[in-house]
Amino acid sequence: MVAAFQCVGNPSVAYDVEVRDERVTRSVVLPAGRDEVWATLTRPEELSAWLGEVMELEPEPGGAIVLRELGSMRRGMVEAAEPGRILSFRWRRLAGAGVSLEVGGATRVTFVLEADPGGTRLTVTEEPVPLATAGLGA
Amino acid sequence: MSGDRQVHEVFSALSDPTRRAVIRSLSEDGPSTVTELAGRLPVTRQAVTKHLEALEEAGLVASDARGRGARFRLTPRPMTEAMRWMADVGGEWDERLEALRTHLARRRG
Repeated sequence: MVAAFQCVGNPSVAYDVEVRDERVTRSVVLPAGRDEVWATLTRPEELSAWLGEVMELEPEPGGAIVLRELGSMRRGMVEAAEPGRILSFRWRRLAGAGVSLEVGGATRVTFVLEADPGGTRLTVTEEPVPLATAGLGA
Repeated sequence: MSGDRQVHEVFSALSDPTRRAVIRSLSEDGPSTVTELAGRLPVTRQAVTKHLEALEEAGLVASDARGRGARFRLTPRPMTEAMRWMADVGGEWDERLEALRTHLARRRG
């Protein structure tokens, strides 16, 4: 969490604002090699096992990514793909299967893979894409 | 998740230290005029006006009138929504990464 709002006043509501940006970051060490982790990100049958049912996936810049989730879909475009190192795409949530109704703004998801004594460190970030550039491919 | 764009505006507005100081001042001292804010912060009236405009655009402050006598107050709901976005998205990734760990264990098993 890079943002914190603290309620410091009573009875008036006071905010101690400490916000740097809106990025959500998670980092985990997985007991597997980078190639193996890369496969779980880029093979449709593997990505389906943990991220969402893959309808379309072309893990190369400009490629499509379409996932089906419970009650909605995510559609996006791959922005960067360097095998074993980095995968990033922007996506947005659509209301339902086959319905291209926007229900959320576009966000960018980036996976970074790094060698770690315990296997592979996988760091994922998700952040809103500014409106001016949000329309492309998603 | 209707608020992604607003989330971006809110965080952009809050990325500036002077704007955060304006918010803090409004939260501590209540609705204030530009002159009052400029008296409490080490910035000019012009700078306060400019920052209030940015905060107003992001929906974080509102004023009861225009012009010199206008008092600005906090309207913090977008902040709550921005925090909810962070919590929602963070929670989604916690679940997905747990599922990935399970998938990898099964794959290797």
